[in-house]
Amino acid sequence: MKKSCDLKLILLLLFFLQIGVSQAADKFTISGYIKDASNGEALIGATISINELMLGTVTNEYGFYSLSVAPGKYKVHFSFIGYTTVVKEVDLQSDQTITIELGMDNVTLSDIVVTAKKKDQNVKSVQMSVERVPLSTVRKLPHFLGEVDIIKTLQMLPGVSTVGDGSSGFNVRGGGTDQNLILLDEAPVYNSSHLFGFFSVFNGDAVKDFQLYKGGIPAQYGGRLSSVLDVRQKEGNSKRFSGNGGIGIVSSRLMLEGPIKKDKTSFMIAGRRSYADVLLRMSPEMKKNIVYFYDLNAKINHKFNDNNRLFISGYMGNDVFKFGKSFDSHWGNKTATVRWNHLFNKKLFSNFTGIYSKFDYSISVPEGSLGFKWVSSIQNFNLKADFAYYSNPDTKLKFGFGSIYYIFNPGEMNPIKNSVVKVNKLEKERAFESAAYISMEQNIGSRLSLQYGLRASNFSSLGSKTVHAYQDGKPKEKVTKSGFKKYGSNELIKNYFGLEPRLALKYSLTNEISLKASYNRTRQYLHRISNTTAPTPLDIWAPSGKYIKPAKVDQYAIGYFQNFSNNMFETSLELYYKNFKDLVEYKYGAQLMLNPTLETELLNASGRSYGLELSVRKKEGRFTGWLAYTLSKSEKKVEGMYNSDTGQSYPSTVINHGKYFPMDYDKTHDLKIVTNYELSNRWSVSSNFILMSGRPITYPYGKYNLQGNTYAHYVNRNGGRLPAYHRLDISFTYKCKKKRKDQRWQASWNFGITNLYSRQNAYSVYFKESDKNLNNQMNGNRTEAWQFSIIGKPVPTVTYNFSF
Amino acid sequence: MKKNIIYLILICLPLFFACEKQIDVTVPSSGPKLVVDGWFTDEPGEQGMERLQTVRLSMSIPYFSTEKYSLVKDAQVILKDTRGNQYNMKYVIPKFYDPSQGKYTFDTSKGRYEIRKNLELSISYQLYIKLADGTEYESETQMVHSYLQTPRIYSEYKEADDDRFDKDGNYIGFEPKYIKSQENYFIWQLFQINEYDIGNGKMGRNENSFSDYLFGSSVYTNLEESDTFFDHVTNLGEKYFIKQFVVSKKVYDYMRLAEQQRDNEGTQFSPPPAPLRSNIKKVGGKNIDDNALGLFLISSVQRSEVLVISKSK
Repeated sequence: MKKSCDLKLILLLLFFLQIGVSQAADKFTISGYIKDASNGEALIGATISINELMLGTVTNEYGFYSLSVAPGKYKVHFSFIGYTTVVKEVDLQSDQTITIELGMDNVTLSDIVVTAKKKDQNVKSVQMSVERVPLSTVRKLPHFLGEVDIIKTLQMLPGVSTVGDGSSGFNVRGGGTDQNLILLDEAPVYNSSHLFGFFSVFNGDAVKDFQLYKGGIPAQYGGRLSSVLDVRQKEGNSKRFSGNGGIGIVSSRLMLEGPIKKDKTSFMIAGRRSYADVLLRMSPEMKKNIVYFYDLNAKINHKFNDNNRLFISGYMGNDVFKFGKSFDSHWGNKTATVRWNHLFNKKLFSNFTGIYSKFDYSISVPEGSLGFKWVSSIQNFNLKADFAYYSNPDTKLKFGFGSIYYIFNPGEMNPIKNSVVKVNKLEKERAFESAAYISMEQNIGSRLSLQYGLRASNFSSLGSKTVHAYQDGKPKEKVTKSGFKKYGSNELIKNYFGLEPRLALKYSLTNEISLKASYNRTRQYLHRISNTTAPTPLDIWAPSGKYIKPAKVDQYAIGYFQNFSNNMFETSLELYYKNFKDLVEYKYGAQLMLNPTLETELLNASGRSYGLELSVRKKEGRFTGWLAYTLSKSEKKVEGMYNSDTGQSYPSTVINHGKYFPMDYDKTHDLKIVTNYELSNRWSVSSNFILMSGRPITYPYGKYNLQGNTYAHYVNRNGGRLPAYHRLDISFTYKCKKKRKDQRWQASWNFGITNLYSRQNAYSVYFKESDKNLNNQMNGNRTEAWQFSIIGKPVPTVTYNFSF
Repeated sequence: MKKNIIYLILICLPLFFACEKQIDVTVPSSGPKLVVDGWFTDEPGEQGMERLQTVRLSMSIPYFSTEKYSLVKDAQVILKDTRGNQYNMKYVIPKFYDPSQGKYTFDTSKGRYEIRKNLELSISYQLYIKLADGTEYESETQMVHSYLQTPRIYSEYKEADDDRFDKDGNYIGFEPKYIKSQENYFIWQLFQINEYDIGNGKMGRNENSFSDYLFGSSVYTNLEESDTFFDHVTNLGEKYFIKQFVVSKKVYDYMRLAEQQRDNEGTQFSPPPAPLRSNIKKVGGKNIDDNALGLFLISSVQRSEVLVISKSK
């Protein structure tokens, strides 16, 4: 039955594709790239339009466009917000390549726009549930301790939240932090935070553009359930040597870029490092303690000719914690990407990519009888090919395929010299994931646009691994083991295959109003094994296998989009519903670290998430900003394994009696207001305001005494909620005056205060026995609730930024 | 010193914006529930008598209550073994020496059910409880596991560090002795031996527990179980030994989780608090929420050698 449905789905897709592609005859093609004239960077989402035909297209993520129209003379408009529009007369009697460099407007609009995309993209694009904020805006927002942070900016958008201050990652529409596919130049980043979540791994100076897909995820993306964050690094200024950087109270950063061969080859290199250890080294008593993080980004690109370009980029970052001789730890990501853009012809754009990515950590106690070193890692090697075929202005076909080979080191603990710690090495697992996709973007008439596609993915879990068998009908526990099978290196353990249909449609009611709908199914084969509300750098990733099924979600969304005042105001209202299956959940008191039979600690959960997102943005003028409100609910349930002897589920396999309970990151109300006001040519002021429901928490239902100690009695998970969270941050930016008009050095100061009105938001609420107890074990000892706030006071910051 | 403070401020800048305060929270209540507290061991009794085994029955109270835990005095408590024997336990209010009065007095707050009974190795035991209202409870059946290995005890000089040892000094560590072919679960506790002069050239002696519990097993191999140092500094001449309790997996999981939760500060990096699954089931109960709280625990006990602290830096 399932195979029959899959076949019908494929046939239906092929039918539509055939209709779309067959409309392409008797036309010529204008194609090329659109770039920033000042630095040669490709402009993503720039518009190419022919007004007399009411046709247009936008550049892809490499700045490429292709537009096929009937022969004739046309005025072609090349435009990008913040840049002067170029109009070129074209006599189209054959295919033509036109590469355009756009210069910035005299009035530097880029400083005051909210989105660097097509002005009416909100209404006209078929894509919904997408967020994009230009770096110029991100830089102006108030940031904790002055560190420009993409992830924190995302958390100010509708449908994106975090469990609280100092938490790594972000949650999208009720999804866990491991359900976000975070890509840096297409390489997956497994841990997006430094210092446990205070700062993100993305150095704002090295980033060119980022885009977050919360729903309606295009078919070229797969592997995570809830979102895709696509971050692109700068390519490097191909015109002249330049740079920028900043000096803050936590870290300093510097980015240099320039041509190696003008307009042919360019590079970008950026570094960032925090200072704490440098300061500690100056103290004789504390010089043994080291705490810092650093990032290094690099990219080089070379244009062989109009049809071939090569990009090589990489990232390396690390957090280092060392406390004397007692503890030593580090963790970090490494990524490397090699991309080759090739134009087969004016209509067929291709990109071939090789990717390497690794996240690893180590913890060690370097001395003593308990000394050990513990390492764990995940790494992947990825090869893929993506194609875009621009058959005519109304249709764009995308297709591609790729494979990923994973190596997991779930944990390896080795004693150091003279240590009594036992060697404990878990077997290195491997996995092979392949996917192919096809997707069509198609306009049907002037009002209806469709984007439909299908992704087929296959995942093979491979050895080495010892897979245990368990007694039938019994929970998987150490005591119910019934045997085992050893799989050799790269030997197939389990294979999964699945189809992931994607569909989005837009219907324009008027030029300024549209209705949109989308559906996507996504599958996730990797699972972050973490039994905490927020992820830690020491979590491990596990592949789907014999006992861990791939997680799946079906997401449905509808939306109303309207712009006002010539697209100055952008509004949207979206409703979504997500149905999760086969999520990983944990038994109470689960032992997750260095556990060779992890399946004995895991449970299978299902979930649902639904909500409403309202967004109002003002994109132009001296006053810009947005208001985002989300009303949502996300919950999961673990029904457990049925025990026919008792007529109930086995207690160890069930949570909250199998009823729905709120997910750790469920936030009923979530309001964010972001503003920026240009006070003068030199001064601007920005603010963030956040008001949201507190996160769920498990409260005790009572207490009792056992062996002289007081214990809390817990019943329902996440039955309570922390107090509401709200905070106002403010920042002022001052642009220094240039001494000469042609001076390249441009400096600015950013002064900010996080938590302006000193709100003490609860980072945690915990319960403990009072210090004032009477030490009489049968007295009902005084127990208290304590709230800990990480940012409980105003936090001032100052940063000096420069560019040249 | 001043310099150090400045460095500390700089490195811990975010922490200076952190704050902690006691708050009022309204928490739900599940009403009073029976709490069973019984830990039976195979240790011999004192002065040739059989071992005094005790069970305390009390009721849970609301989380923020400062009332006393009420004791359950009128229950029927029976120890059963797998050979079909049943031993009734008697409610007793023990006497304690009150130095302020200079005599032994009854302490009603420590009322408990008692029996003198030496446990036998490889025999399983179960506790049966019937409350005055007729409600019945039964514990999980547990066996007294024989274990012939004792941990090696030693002391080692440690310098104070941030995360483990508070002060410079001698700390007591131990080396567990696992039998790889067996699945065993251990709880360790450090005891101090106090000897005192009782006159006439005679010495009195008592043994006091000196540490929280440490946990280990031949099955689990997590970091927490690698902890083989007790965290109290010792002094020269003091005498210590370690008691090793061999318990069932269920008891082990309960005790370990209970200890974890006492230290759980509820941060985003803490696992969610869990209901502690008692091994005392309500007879005819509909679900696990009907079960009693607490634990009935059977263990064999091994003692390490006595260590006299003699080393110093």
